[in-house]
Amino acid sequence: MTPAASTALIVVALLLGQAGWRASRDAVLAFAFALALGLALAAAGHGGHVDVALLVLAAAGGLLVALGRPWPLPLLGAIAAAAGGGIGLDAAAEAGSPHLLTLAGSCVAACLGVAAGAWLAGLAQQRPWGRILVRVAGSWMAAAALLVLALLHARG
Amino acid sequence: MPRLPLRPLASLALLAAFALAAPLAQAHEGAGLAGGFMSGFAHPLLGWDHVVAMLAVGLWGAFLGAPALWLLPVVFPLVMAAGGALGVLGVPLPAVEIGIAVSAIALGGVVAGALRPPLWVAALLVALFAIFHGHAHGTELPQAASPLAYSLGFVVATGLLHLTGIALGLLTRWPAGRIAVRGMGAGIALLGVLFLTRAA
Repeated sequence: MTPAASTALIVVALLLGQAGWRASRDAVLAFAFALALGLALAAAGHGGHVDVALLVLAAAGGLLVALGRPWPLPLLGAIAAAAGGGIGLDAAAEAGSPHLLTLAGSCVAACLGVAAGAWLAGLAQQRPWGRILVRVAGSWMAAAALLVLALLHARG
Repeated sequence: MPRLPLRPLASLALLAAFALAAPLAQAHEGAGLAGGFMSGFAHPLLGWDHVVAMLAVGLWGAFLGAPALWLLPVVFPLVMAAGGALGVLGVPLPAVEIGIAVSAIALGGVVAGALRPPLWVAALLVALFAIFHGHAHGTELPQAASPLAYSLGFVVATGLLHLTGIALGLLTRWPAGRIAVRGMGAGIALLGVLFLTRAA
């Protein structure tokens, strides 16, 4: 998994955990479905590096986490699905000519990562300092993604 | 929220972390990602002017209490990214080192003086200085082996310095602690004066 994909995955986990594990179950499913679709498309030869799109998602999602509002669940589902699809396309491109088992492993690992991360972030919501930590982590992710987007823009 | 079973989910989190780390280890050179992160992580920690200003942000946040407690550490990295973007794009910012030294004087000074301005003033002041700190970090970014890892490294290090400042600032719960925190602010402001004489 590329650093951009890892950043997007962490942001999705924070966003869903902030919304609450129960409320965001559908978004986790949307992530998993889009991820599998992205990997399947990549396996069929339609993959590619989508670092910029993943960084844009990470920056936007990180800002949403930092703002800490109760965002509408369809918005969270859309972000989760977009990130899942992007991570799928990117993971297959990263692996070169991926084996089916490699793709399946990537799918399972990314889904476990989002589910576990969302659960941890959801657990943190139960305490005031936990809510602060999640928002601070969101701002870190957004800041890092914005900087790299600026660098990519500078390099043309 | 109902209590969730801790042990199976904690095991799941650990398993996921290992599973996600394995492809990283296979697909990338350790030096590229790890080196980029460590280089970025070390950047704010190796400059005392950055360290004391970040501690002051945390101290002031703790001094002001909620919502400044979380707002300042959230505003700082986001505006710092904007300053970093200016550095990356090659937009010159005059007197960056002087701005960083002044940030230590001003932020240390407000802690020492136990100033409690309106929240938006505090956020604006912190945001203003974040631009200078971000610009200084951002100019190093194009040389990084892994720019994202470098960015994450220096943003996380900056945030951890804020959290350290907040932790120290929690001493304000006790009367003697308030004096100690104000003393730390005064020390930071004095160090800022020293940095300013070197930068000017």
